[in-house]
Amino acid sequence: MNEILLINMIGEIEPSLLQDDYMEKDMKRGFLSFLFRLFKKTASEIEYNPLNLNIFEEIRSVEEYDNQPEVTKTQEIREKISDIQPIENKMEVSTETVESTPENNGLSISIFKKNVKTLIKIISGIAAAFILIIGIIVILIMRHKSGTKLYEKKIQIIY
Amino acid sequence: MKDEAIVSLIYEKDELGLLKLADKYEKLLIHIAAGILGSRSRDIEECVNDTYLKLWNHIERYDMDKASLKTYLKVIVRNTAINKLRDLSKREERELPEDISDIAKYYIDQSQSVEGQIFSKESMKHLNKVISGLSERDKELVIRKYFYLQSSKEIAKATKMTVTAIDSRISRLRNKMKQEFLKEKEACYCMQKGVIYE
Repeated sequence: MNEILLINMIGEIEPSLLQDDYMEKDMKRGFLSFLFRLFKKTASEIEYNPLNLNIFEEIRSVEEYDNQPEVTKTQEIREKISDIQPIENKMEVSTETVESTPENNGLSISIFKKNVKTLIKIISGIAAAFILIIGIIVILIMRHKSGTKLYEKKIQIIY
Repeated sequence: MKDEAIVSLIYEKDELGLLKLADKYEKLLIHIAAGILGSRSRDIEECVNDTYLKLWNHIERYDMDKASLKTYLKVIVRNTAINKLRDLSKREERELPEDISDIAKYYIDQSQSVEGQIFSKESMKHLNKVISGLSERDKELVIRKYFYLQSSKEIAKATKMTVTAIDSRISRLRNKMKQEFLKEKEACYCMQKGVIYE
């Protein structure tokens, strides 16, 4: 059957044959996939934001340094002073090593796992808080119910 | 608001009916028009507005017993979008949208040869019979491809099949439909002949 003819003819078929919900399903699927993409995007933004990573690393290194005993601190300072002279050579070596390490090529799985874990923690925290609030509301309602019952009984006794 | 109430408001030429209609069905109509016309927002908007206008002007033609308001609107918006697509091919200076489906592009290229063709009631009857005889899955593929002009990729995504599977199945379906359509036509012709001889 000629496709063009079919397209033109199918526009005039019985409406009972067109009582489908394909488009509605597509729309729903489109919305769900949009939400999924949004979630994925935000998750990846949290993961790969270099600013966030640098800040976290800085905080961690400062904390580690503060927790070290005084003797090790002075040793570290001495080592740094001795390293000042060949710093140019070191820089070259370090850039080469950064480029060639396999961890820097592509996705770092450990970072991804950590961020997924934190996301799961956040979600579970929100869920726990939500359950707690609902529990408190239920308890309050129950207490209030018994209170109203008592009040009704008192009224009956008075009468 | 229920469809009956919307229809009665439009019957009375109350503009509130159109507002309620837009509230209820505009997203669906835009989705259908966008599937045919691509991402040309102005054309889509025109197409949806034309649909409202057609319903407003010809509300007396709408029969609630035959089809729901949603189905009626779907048919109007689809046919309006197809006409718009045909207009795009006429205006040569206008650039054709790039994101329309392959079948829509093919339609633009070839449609002039069958433009304005009027189909006999009998041919339509045969086609109705052929389509109603298809399985649910096959019917979905045919309607998606030739009514909504969806690309094979979109159909594959919606039906969770591969693009090649969709293409080969639709091609087989088309052949099957052609054979059955001709068979129906022949049977009808023989019956008519029989009646004449009797």
